[in-house]
Amino acid sequence: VPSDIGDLPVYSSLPVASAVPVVRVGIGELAVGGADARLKSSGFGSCVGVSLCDPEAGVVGLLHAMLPVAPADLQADGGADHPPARYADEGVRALVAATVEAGATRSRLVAKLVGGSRMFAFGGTEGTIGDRNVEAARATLAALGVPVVAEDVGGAVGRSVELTGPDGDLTVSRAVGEDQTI
Amino acid sequence: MNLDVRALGRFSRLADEGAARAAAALSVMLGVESEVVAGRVGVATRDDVRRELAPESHVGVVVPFRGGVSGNALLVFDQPDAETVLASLTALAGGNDALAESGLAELANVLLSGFVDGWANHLGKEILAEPPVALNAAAVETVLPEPGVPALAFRNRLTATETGTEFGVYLLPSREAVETVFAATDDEGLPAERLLTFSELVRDGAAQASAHVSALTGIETVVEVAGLSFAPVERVPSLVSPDTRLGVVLELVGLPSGYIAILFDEASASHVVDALMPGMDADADLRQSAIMEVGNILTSGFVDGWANDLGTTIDISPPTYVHDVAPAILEPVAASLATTQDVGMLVESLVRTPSGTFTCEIYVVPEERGLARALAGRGGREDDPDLQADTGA
Repeated sequence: VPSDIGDLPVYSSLPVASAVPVVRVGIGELAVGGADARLKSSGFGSCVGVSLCDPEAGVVGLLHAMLPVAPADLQADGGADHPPARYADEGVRALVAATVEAGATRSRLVAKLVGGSRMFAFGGTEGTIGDRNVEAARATLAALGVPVVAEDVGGAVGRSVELTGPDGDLTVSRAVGEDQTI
Repeated sequence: MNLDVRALGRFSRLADEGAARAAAALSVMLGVESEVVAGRVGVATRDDVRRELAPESHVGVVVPFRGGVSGNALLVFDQPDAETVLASLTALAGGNDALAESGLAELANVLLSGFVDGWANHLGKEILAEPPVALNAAAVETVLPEPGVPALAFRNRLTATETGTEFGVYLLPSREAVETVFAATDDEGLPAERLLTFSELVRDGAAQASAHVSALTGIETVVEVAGLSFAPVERVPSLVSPDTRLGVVLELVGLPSGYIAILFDEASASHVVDALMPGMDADADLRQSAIMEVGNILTSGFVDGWANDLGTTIDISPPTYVHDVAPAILEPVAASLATTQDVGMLVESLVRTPSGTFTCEIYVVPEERGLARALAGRGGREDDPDLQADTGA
């Protein structure tokens, strides 16, 4: 997420235009934003998406996690090879922390869940990774006392989302079917 | 030389962060909102790089860098995109062409420093950028890898949301940099020279798939892209087309294990079905089985060649039919490998008609350690007691 461009050289010959607050959240990433934020993430298959919102503070956050549970040695390499946002459990913790740091109050946070599809299964290798992703996100949110107020999970369909501030509206679009806002 | 796959993953991640910084810089300097397309690193030959940079059809700027790591960073545009960018720079420069030209050099400096600085910070070493030079035939010659030596090419792309203008960024570390930063210190790595051979196998497989498609459908196709890339495992689904695709996914079990996806755009899938069942008003089930059959044929054509060349056995599962956006199809594939590896490999082939009316994408996501062993000639099934454990089957 481009958050720090303070060290860029300033060129007097070129006028400075304003930045546009659309942020793409890739797989294994999270992002937070304010009242005018638009956070987008696409191609959710078995991955789980978690959105958080504190509507009073106007802070929103979005996570796109691939695996349910982080390995025990997650911090051994400082996250260089295993970014916490790759995992639903560590990712949710990091997302809650990031929204609080951005001005949200934890007790006011509400969550929405998306994704966790069962795209296909081979001999148990994929199994229900989508289900396990959703369960891990749900369990971690419960442990942190953040209620899940809406969800569009499961099935066998890919989804893309756009999260907007300040109210945390989450628009879910599917490759096949209608968009809906949850 | 063996390549350290984890280093490839780390530097690829740093390049993605550089792309995010470049996107922020673009919005500040030009007021252009841009999307970052996930970057990738691949093994490339001198000919690969020359073909890709093709100075006759590209405009760009080269920024050589030296110090902790040496090499070249390039900002590259297709000819029409370069005109769009120069026009907006000229507008910003109040119609002064000379200022616009120097603006392009400044733009390159700012965008490319976002990439190179990330590497410098990671290594804790200083990297100095030299003055930018225009990308022309002479400049391309100076950035090409040495003949016969496998080089690394980091490729990133930013796409301006409104105009679709593409900003291509290439980072080409020098041979010395490759040997100091990306060489494996143990025997776990991937043999770089064998990766080049494997790339040829991929091209052969793609050519065979193209021939099969042409024979089945009567549509003359060519191989547009065929290659092998590395990226952090969770980014692998982002490397494929964001659009809706229809096709099959099959699991590979052996050396290497992994997954193969054969994906058509919807119109091309209809072509395939109509060609296989001419004059028939096929229902959804029949259409699906036709696509699955074509998937089987293309997969065995692709994978049998690998097994023969590598001297290994690769079993292929029955096909699963898929119809969704391509990254969502690839997510569970990447997720199943992400439990055991941090860096993903994507073997991609694009078979299409020259006009693009028919396209078939073939993606193989191999399990890393199995591929490393197969490439290192340690893949014989009969002398491999660990095979069962390693394939996870």
